Amino acid sequence: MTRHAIAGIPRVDRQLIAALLALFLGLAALPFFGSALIVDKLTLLTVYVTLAVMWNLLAGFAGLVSVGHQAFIGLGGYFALRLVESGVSPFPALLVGGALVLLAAWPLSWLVLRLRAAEFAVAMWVLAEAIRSMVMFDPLIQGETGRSLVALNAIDPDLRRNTLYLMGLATAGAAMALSYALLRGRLGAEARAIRDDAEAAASLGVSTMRVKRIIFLISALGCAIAGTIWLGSAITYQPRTAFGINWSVFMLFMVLVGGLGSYLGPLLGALLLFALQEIFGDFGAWYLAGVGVVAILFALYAPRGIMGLIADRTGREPLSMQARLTRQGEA
Amino acid sequence: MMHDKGMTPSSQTRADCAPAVLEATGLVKRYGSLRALDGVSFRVRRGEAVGIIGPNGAGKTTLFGALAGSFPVSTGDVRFGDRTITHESAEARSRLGIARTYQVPRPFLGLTVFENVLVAAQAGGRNGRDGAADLAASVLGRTGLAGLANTPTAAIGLLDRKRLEVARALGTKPQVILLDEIGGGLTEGELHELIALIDGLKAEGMTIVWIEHILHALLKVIDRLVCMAEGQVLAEGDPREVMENAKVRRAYLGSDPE
Repeated sequence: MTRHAIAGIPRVDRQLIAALLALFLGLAALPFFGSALIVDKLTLLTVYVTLAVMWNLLAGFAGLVSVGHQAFIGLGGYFALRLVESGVSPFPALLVGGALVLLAAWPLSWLVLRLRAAEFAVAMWVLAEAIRSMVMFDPLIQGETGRSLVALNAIDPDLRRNTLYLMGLATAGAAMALSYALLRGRLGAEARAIRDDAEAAASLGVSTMRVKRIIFLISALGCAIAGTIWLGSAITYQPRTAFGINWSVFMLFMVLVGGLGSYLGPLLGALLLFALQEIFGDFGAWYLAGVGVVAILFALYAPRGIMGLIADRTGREPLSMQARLTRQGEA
Repeated sequence: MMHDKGMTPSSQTRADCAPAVLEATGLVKRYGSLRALDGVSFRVRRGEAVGIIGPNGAGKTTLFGALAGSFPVSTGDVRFGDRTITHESAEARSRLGIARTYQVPRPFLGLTVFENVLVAAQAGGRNGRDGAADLAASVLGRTGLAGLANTPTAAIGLLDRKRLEVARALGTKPQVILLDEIGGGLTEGELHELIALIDGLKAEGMTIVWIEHILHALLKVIDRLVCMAEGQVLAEGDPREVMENAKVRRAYLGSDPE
């Protein structure tokens, strides 16, 4: 019998990966030559990239459309704040605070992952609001007032800025690398199968709850760490902002415009959102109108996002997660 | 109760002495006041091929769902080999070796044809990546889908989607395969290939349960026939005797025998 195998990564994709790695290394060197303003702005971009990659993993690959992942963004910030208050030094506190979110996400996953699509989306939003209310009860937060990460202010501004930037870049890089490894493997195909028809996937032996839980937890962790890095650069923690529905709107925008369920879509979507904020940000609320118009135009004329347009033009989606069957020895 | 226990096969089939591999006892499935399954007992022996016929709404597909664990039954028991699996999930039953196909195909539309089978071969068939690719490729060959391996499933037609149902089920390396109306809409030639495929599976020792309206295809393969109506087993036994049973003719063919 002829041996069959799953095709390796095509040459075009390998070149693209090499280019992304080179870009990553170049960005890692930015603190040595970039201005403070640029480093600050790009920190926000890394936060956007992480959030978009996580939301795409969740909604685009596992079919779990959440409008409540700000629960983990806000909770990560809260845990980080609490850790700093209890004497942990700020930078480790940002990472550990983000990781602690898993303690909340794990039990919640048992609850919400049993729900059907629309129920899940709404339940996540309700949870985000419920967690925000609980956080606001903490005397440290004092309701709407919030709290500042004063310990961060004590650190030299350049050191603080560059460290946060590198943490953000590392998180975005890790999010992209981890999701690539997962999606290329067995878990990726199973997640997509569950997205398309969970009952049929179960009938073929796919552990649907396990696959959904793994992806849910990764997305919670990624959003939480992105949230703490954002908090690090914003310094002020206000529950209404940290748990704001805006986060979900941004994630939705980036992923839908970039290309839901494509690997590179969220990266492009994050760049576009960032660019729109840069261009229209000076016009105040007008930038929100700009974001809205772009979203509507994409929904009408390019429902598969930027990556869909690219795939239509080139005939193949770059860095596609598709497993191709080949005979052994073929390219 | 309309059970006709008198319809035991007169001709001894070779699977007769083998133990039951899959056995359901007193299955009831209620949907509100409707009893989709109303006390169905069903058994299939290792290596046996059983056909199931019956009018629409007889509960045939519901029986498959109950056997494969697609939903919990209201009462009754399902046994596989020597273990009770009534409360096992569909996933667990697939891994034990029970595979089902869906009457209306349910492919993963965002995956390629090959990926559809790969998922089955990795999860249900418990294979490593390379072994799964090999198994998926051979299953695609057997079901006539080799040429479509890397085609997006959304781009294939209904007949190929039916083939894919069978391919995916085979990808899990099942001991028992539950086939739900996979022959509908096929041309005579295609039906011939399908019968050859199922005959081949049977020759390899696979246990087959096949719901089908195309009787002449069914009769070429099966050892035993079960006729269901209104959530109950109307008659079972030797295929020809079941077909001549007066109650079966009334319920299924809608006419009294001459």
